[in-house]
Amino acid sequence: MRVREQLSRHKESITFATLIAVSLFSLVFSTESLRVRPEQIGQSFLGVFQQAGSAIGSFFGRTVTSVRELAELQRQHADLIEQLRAYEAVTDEVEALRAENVRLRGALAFSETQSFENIPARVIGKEPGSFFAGFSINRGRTAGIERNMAVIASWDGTQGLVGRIAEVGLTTSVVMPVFDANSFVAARLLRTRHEGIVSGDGVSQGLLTMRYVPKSAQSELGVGDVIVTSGMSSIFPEGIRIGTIEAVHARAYETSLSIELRPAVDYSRVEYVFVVKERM
Amino acid sequence: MIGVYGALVLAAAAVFQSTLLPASAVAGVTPDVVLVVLVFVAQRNGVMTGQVCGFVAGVVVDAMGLAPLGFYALSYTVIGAAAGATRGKVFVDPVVMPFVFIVAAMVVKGLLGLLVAWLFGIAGVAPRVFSGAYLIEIAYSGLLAPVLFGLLGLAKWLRPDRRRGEIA
Repeated sequence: MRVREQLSRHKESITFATLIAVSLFSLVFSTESLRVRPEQIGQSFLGVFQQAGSAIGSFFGRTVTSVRELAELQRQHADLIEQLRAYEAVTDEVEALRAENVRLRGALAFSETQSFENIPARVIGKEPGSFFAGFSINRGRTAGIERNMAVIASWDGTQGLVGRIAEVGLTTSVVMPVFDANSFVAARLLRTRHEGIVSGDGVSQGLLTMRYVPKSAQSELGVGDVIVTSGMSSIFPEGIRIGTIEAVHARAYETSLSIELRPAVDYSRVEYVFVVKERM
Repeated sequence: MIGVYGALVLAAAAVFQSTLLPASAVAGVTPDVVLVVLVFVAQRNGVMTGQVCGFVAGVVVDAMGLAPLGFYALSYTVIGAAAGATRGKVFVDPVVMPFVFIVAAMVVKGLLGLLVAWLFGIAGVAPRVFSGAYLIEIAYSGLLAPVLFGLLGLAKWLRPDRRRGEIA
């Protein structure tokens, strides 16, 4: 009886301790490399809601566009009656559709010219928390996506490295971008062939850093030099553009150069990506 | 029952934050709507509801991104419990206190993030906490708080104190 009273009296504290313990246990398991990770289950389940949220966003976006277009058409109708200038009307939606058409044609052409098999995907959501930098795409295990597949995008007419698949759900996946602090990419300077490792600082609009390039290479490097994947790791195929040199630092206390890169892709504006399935 | 409503609202807020909110980003930063909703629900309903809703919200956020499962669950559980502990002890005006609550919660979230990242060797958290982007997120979330508190205050099913005729 007294135990029950004690439990009842400390109900809140016991619940708090239990929830914290569950969180800690989850962290212990999550941060280890288990074959079946709890996130995969949650990702599969929540991916449905992310897709729904994205669809709702698209629906409202189209509705707002339609309402805006209706208002525009009404104004044009009045203009027609008064000024007979119907031919001047170009609606926002037509412009938007034309622009989208151009983008999709570019993406299609990009996809068809790749030398490796790829799975096109659309970005449907960004990381909801602020301490990590992943984003979700609308393709998952059912589309053949697996962990650690490379993700690229078409940007300014060339292919650029976006990141790799970090979590896979049934119909959605989470991409770890190159600028994530946990991302490391084996890279090579396209012109001088020096090799190094590219990593980020977790900020999508920041610069990437390439390390482990010997100091002796400094005189050969210049701003604007292109850095590509070296293909030395099993994840990223060779020759994908990562970025261009923005600055080269040779610090006295470091044994190698620290090279700042301007990423080839604007990660905050990527809408469509391609998951590299395998080399053809 | 309020816990179920609160958890559902928080899960919806997490999906909203992931899919629709990036369109309203300022300098690439979006406010932490989940945190604002959590503090509102917890502050109106007490410790138990706050910590359970915080845990659920954290698990949802963990599962939708790259965070290891438990990372946000732990932070939001603590914040939910702390916000719930202020129920009935603090006069909450429509503007200043929501801002103060959210700024304080964001600071606690940052500190807990640093602690968990240090304990479990998770890279990338410290640069984000000490970045200008996090300051923008704190300000953005704080400024959004009075508006969201006002809107959520209209939902009587999130406010059992009103139904019982009590004064919050």
